[in-house]
Amino acid sequence: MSIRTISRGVATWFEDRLGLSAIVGFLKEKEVPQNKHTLWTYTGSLILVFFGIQVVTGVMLAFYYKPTLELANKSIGRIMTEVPLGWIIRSVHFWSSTFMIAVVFIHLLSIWIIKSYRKPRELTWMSGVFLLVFTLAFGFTGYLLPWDDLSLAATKVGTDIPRSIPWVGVWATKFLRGGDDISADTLSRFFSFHVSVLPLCLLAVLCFHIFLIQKQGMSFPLGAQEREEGKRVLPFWPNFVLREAIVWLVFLGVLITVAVLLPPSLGKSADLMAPAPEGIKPEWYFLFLFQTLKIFPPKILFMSGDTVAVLVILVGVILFFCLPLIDNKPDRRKGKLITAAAYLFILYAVAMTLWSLLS
Amino acid sequence: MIKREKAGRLAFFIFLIVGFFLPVFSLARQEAPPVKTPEMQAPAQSEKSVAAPQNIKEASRIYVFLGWMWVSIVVLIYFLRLKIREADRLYRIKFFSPAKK
Repeated sequence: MSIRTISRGVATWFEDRLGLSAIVGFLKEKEVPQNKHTLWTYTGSLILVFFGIQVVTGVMLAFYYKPTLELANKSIGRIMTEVPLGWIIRSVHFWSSTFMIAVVFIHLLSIWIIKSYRKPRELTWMSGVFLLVFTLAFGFTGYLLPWDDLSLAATKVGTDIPRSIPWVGVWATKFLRGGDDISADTLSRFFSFHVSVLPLCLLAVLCFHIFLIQKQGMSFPLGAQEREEGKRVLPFWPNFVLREAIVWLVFLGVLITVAVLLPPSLGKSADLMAPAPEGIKPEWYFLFLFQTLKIFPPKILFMSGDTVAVLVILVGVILFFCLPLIDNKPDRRKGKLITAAAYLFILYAVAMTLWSLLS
Repeated sequence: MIKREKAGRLAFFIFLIVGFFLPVFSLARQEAPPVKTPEMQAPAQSEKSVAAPQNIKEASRIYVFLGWMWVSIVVLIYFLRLKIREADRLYRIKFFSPAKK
């Protein structure tokens, strides 16, 4: 019996039980629009690549990490100094999360600008906003895990922000901290969220998001259907996947190079009683929100400035989530105003981030 | 002839992929921990731990790996571009379209 006969037999055995040929057939038939915006479509799969790297390196780090007050910082120190290649694994995990968040922002902003969220892709956009929130939550919860002075102080500031929300704020802060103040419970809570709750939530929403993309296909640019470029398509397999593979390879190379040349350091173990160090700042992706909170005066009419700032940010997030419902006529004047709002938002976020970095 | 060419190409790819991951495996191999003198004990709590290769051997291996990785990436991209050109050509001449069959 030849190897070919055996492999054909195995393939038939699986085919009879799983019916995978339907999926293969679907992928062979699938087409991707080819136009000047095609570049942005590569960001979606790039996020998946970074997420995969996060999962693999995260599992490796979890082999050695111990989420207790006494051992959290020491175990990271051990990963960096004693575990073979531990410092690279940690560095790849750190940089991969940074790259992933950056690409998620680029992905969402590009969809906002080219208006791919319009009917019938409203749910794809909304699930994408959920994925952005989960990704940021990964960053926030992961920041505390090294348990050094900087991460403790940043988490104190971060978990204090929801306190300003009327009615539910105090409860939200208590829920995040596992008590009135940061303690061992906060660390174990953040670890649990980081390695089990958030991955499960993200995977569920991700499956829904990918299902919607497969069901509706990738969108054409606004008005492209009538133009010549609206008719140009590219087969997903193998033409588009091969192009994507080049992007993955380049970014994988950049990620590993950056991880090797710029590994993150680790501060000394956090002391719960010590005063917060000067000039505490969150990670770069929270800087524009952090600076927004700072520009509000202490009191606005009868409300505290913090409460107004948090409410303004919450309203902004809700509007962002409901964007496809607000921009229901993207080719009209309202649609153009919303595109202008996207550019204005990018300008605002960059300016606020720079201001926060330089102040 | 075509089969031989295909087999050659496959062997080259396998060599490239194995070579790509070989340094990682050799780096990941557990080595006997060095004997710690009192000066080499864990850094004091006030110190900041800096991530870096543990010794000159590891540092040189890392840089060799980086070089090898970029060479492999460039070669793989070259082959991928050839494959893309071929796939695009087949699509242009409608090689797989039902009408052709």
